[in-house]
Amino acid sequence: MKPPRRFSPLARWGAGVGLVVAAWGVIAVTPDDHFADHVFVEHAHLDTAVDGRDIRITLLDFEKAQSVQDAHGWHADGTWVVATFEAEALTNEKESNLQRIELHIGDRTYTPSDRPDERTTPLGHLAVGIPATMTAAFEIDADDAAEHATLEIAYDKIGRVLDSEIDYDADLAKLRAVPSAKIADRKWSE
Amino acid sequence: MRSGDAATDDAAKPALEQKRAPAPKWVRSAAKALPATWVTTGALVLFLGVTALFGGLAAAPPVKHHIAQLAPGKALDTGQLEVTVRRAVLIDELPGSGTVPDDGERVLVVTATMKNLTDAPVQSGVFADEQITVDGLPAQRVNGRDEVASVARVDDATLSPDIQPGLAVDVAFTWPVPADLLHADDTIDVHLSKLTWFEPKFLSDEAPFWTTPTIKAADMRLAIDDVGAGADQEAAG
Repeated sequence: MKPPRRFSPLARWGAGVGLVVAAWGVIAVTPDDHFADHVFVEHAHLDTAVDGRDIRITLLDFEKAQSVQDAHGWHADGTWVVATFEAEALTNEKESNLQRIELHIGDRTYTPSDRPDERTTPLGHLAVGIPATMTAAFEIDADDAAEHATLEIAYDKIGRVLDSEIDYDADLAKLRAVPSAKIADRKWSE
Repeated sequence: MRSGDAATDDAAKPALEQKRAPAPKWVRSAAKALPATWVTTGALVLFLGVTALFGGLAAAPPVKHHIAQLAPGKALDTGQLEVTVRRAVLIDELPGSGTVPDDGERVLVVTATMKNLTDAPVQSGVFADEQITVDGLPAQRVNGRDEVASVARVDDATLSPDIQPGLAVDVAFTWPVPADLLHADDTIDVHLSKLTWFEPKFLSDEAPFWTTPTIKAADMRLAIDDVGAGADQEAAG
């Protein structure tokens, strides 16, 4: 019987090293575990509509306030960052729930205030072609009042799978500060 | 490494055996004189001896479940929140607190300040029942329903408020209690527990989070202030 064919040591070492390099290559191009969490970020500017996959946001106002008040007589002092914006869905109303509205300052994540009793919280269903005006009032730690902040608006809070996210960056130190900001009731635009 | 030359393979085996140097004489005589069990036993005794030398065989210190006895107004750091329980109040009813007493019931109120020590909002209503408990409350209400604690902001009665990072919020925990269960100047034993920081590790890319089970963290005895119908109540209505 013919002895099995042997490769030269050089060929065997070459193949071994080649496989290691190939394995490294596979690892290098494999998306990380959080791949599906990545979002397509669209940067917003004041008074300019910005479109995502199925979302259109027009940031109308972004201000700092020492006090906020709603349309029903409630008011609260504190350190507030108030974002007023129009939001509408573009193509599909089925999953157009505005679930993720966050203000990121450093490592901290703030969500819109649920005071008083969620009357002002700007969550809800967006309609196609009918912009809704809403206000997100963030009550923040006074220590964060001069930091850089990023407002993030997107649909899905949990899944956030490869969807659009509307971002707005602001330096809170340079932000216009008003003594009192109004949280208007959420309404559909005329 | 073996030679890659196929022609030498068959001859290699005996050649290798012959090449092996014979063990020194003292090794062979030692191996004969010393049974293998002695070697393993000796190694074990040596290992244990060295371990004992460094205190490895000493009794393990008891696991400390330190439960602090807190005075009212003293803060408890749970890692997630700084909780400062202030006082206990008995009142006929407290609209906006989330607890609506039935006939024959009153409302037990425990006020506290909760400060969020983390970088994300804390939903005060989730796990509220596990994080603060009062001894001696019936499991069932007068109307047969389960006893449920509510938590609300003192200033504007927001139910189960979110506590934003770095912020402190005055809240009122409330329970419906049978009207004759507690009286002025009675004391109640309040137990505070903290949540567990759960970090998924194995095959999981989930972010860590605070969850149950809770760990008992502090006990507290509060005297009850009976404010009757509560005309001068402090909590929001």
